[in-house]
Amino acid sequence: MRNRGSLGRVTPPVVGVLVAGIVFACSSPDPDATIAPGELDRAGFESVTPMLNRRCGSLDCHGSRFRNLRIYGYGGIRLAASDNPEAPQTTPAEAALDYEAVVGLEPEAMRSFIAAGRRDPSKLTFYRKARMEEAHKGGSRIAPGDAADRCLVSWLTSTVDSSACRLAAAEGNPLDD
Amino acid sequence: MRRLLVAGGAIALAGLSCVDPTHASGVDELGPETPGIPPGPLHRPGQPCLACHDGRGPGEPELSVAGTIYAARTESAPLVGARVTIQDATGTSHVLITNEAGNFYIEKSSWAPTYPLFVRLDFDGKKKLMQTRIGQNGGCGFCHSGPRPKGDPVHMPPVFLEDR
Repeated sequence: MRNRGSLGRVTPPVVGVLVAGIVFACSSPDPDATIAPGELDRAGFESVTPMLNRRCGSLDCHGSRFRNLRIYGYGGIRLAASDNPEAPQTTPAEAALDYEAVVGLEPEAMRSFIAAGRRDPSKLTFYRKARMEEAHKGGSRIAPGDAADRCLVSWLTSTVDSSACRLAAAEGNPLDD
Repeated sequence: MRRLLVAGGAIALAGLSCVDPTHASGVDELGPETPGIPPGPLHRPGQPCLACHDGRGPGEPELSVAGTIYAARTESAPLVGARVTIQDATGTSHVLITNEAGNFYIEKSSWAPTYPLFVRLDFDGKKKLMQTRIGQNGGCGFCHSGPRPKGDPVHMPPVFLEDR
């Protein structure tokens, strides 16, 4: 009797699944799945960055080179090797990378969010995590309706509320007297 | 015999998979104890305490917040008897006093804080506030370490009272 070996058990459905898998794995990214600067307020993000630095960007959290959502700037990792977390304040080049990190974190979801009219930030994982609506090792960093929340939601959904962003970024140490 | 070998291999793999190489290398990087200073409250000042005392060993007890305070930015003298106030996200706070090595700590069995944490340092009428929050690691030495390696954009100096 002929020994068919392990390949002898490969049936047409299995071949079909393999072919589909190969086609899927080799498909190119959607070239349209990018966020144009006008679709999310790039200039307005300059107001958001200091809030993210303050709430999310400490060295032991997203101010680390090991994080997908990597926040450069004051208090965290710096772009220029000559800088350090203590100084200077966040630079425009760092803010630009922070924008890329937020927008590019889950491009498909961001794409869908924008296509749906930028109405529901809870479609975005980073927003849900910041509010602890989804498991987040760093806990809740934004409370519904607080200054940081107003800052982020305004930027995502309409025109950035710069005063809310400033308020959130200026939040001091509660142990000060 | 073959089954025995397979079983042995599986057990060996299971054992290996239980070792966290990141944690293990972090512990190894700390090096040996300083001669004459046994493991205890005074040992390893300036090092990231939670590398060993985070519950994964080898240090005991498990600590939630721990660190070392120095008198000045450029000096290695510890700040002894300083008050370190730590407040968590729920508003609960603890005051810890630095020992002869400048070390302070609190065991996790006494306090498992909710992050982020805020820190204040008081000594001899002087105060210093930590400008940023502690996001998730209560070991000060995780971020605050020794002299700055050239071109390290994440380096923070050791925790000190006076900027001199």
